[in-house]
Amino acid sequence: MVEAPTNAYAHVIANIDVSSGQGGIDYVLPSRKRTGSDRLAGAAPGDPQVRLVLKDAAGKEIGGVHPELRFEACDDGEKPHRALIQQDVELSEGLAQVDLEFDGKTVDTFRPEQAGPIDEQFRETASWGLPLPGDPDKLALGTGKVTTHSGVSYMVQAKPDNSDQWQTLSIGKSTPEFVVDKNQFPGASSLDVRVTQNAGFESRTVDERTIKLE
Amino acid sequence: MTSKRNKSGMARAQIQPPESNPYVAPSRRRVDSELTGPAPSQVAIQAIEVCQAIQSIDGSVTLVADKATLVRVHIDQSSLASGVRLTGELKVRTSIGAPATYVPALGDLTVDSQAPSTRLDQRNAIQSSLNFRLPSGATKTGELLVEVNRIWLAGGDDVKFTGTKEVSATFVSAPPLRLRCIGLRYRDNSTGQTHAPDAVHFAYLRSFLERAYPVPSVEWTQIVVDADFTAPFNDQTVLKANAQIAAIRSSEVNNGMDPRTHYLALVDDARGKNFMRGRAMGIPAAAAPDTVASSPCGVPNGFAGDNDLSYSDWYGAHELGHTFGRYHPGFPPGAQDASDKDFPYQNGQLSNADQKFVGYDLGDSTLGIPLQALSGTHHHDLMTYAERQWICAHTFEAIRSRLIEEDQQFAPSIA
Repeated sequence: MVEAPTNAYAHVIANIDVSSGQGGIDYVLPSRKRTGSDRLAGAAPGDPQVRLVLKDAAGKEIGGVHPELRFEACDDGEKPHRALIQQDVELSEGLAQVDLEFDGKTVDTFRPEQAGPIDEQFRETASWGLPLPGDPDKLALGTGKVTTHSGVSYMVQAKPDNSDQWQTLSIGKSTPEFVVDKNQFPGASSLDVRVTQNAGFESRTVDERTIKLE
Repeated sequence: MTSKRNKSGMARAQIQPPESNPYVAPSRRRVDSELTGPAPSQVAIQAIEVCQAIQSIDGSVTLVADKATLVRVHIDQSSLASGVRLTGELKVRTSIGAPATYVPALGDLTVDSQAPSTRLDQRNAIQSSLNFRLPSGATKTGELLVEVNRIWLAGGDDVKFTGTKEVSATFVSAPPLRLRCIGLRYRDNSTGQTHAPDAVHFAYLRSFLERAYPVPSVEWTQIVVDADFTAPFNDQTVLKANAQIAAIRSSEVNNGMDPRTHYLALVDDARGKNFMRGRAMGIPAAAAPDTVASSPCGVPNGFAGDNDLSYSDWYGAHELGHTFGRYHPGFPPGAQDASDKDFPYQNGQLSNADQKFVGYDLGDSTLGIPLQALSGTHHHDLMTYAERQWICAHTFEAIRSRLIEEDQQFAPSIA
């Protein structure tokens, strides 16, 4: 099954140390809507030292944002200097790259490779709910036998038959393989599982099936 | 055995206990006074206190509608004989003319004439008052008249009472705490073992939040997933944990999770071998339910004065407090920054020396946690690093206000 949800945003999760200037982009998650709270949080203007720079395929800047820096609490008495960035970025035509900049210098770059559909690869090699040897409560899903690409990751979500909510079991993995722990879904007799490929700023469901838990 | 006919016509046997069988006792309508103790002629009620997690002597802390509520009837015991057992009944109603609900006491009050004479000191002992647990239907939004209907000698006659007989309480509507708790399962590369939080740590945290936080309920979901890190831990581990649950949160909100839901990770300390210091990623100045936090969990073994089965409760509540905009009060001095300039109580306590505030833990029978009064000068707010943590009124009211803001600003749009 292939789905191509219309994603209007990408949720960028990154970390930055404003003392050392070190950091990195941890996740770029396409989404249909804003998933952060910053739109209404009335947060202070983002730190001018830090910037998410949006670029096209030629490397030309097409936009940018000073994200809110969420500094860690409970530090060791010193002024907080390590921060998490949780920024919704509106997708624009031609967007091909996101840079994390500190004081005008690029700290990290997210530039996904072109990745074609893996549906056929996945269906030919994926397992759907085989119990692990010696551990019948753990069910193997997916496959590691797909071509990996930079900037392309996989997310596994599940929805038990006694709930309406999709739960994320795995995110940001380079291959679509996962182990489902049946005991995380008490009271359920079956589980809808779907594997989503996040390829840069687009996402698509690779496969979705129902597996029995009992 | 003799037989008598009572006025209703049916013979009633009157059994005399044979000397050979001392356990056959005569039925009696009233318990012998030798068993109940001397009945006082009257008792004086000093005060009626309606309380939830924290309360002041003048009832200044907001009462949250639909939250577990205790009523304490404080009786002057100084003129009563020690050992006298009193019990009672409340009458509660929404207005003078409304139908009443009658509420029995939680057991009885055994008088101790040597008990501290001041009400302030008596408040620190839960057994020093006649206590009542209000039924859930009595804590709805609005006014509630709480009246002492009867006091009687346990097993004996009613006792006259003077003093404060009735108080009015106002219950205010509050949103629930929406929390998704994610246990991060990690592999210890040095041992080859895998560690994930035990059920007890989830249970203790959930219970603590229900009992202490200013909410009628906790809308709780939990799951255990594989962590994006392994042990041995370093100073990057907690950042990875928080980044992972931020990603999980984003993907779940994108798929319909209520955007008012807070996310908190639990990381087991493997019997103390792998302790990850907790961190919230942000102390938002305004409502921001996407602020994530991670907390260690494990058996406390005296950690911060805690000797029960888990420290996930107060530790998780502390990190979660940051996500609601709470800063550190600065206690113990030198161990913590003092960023909360408005913290009003000395030494990070629940109360100043005037003992105005007392904490109330209404307990959890599923975890064997009893009902307790928590002295305001011997317990400390959960935003400190001090021992014996509970929630103070300053933190209680601030989190309540922030939850209201979040509830209003981030309510999902109706399609």
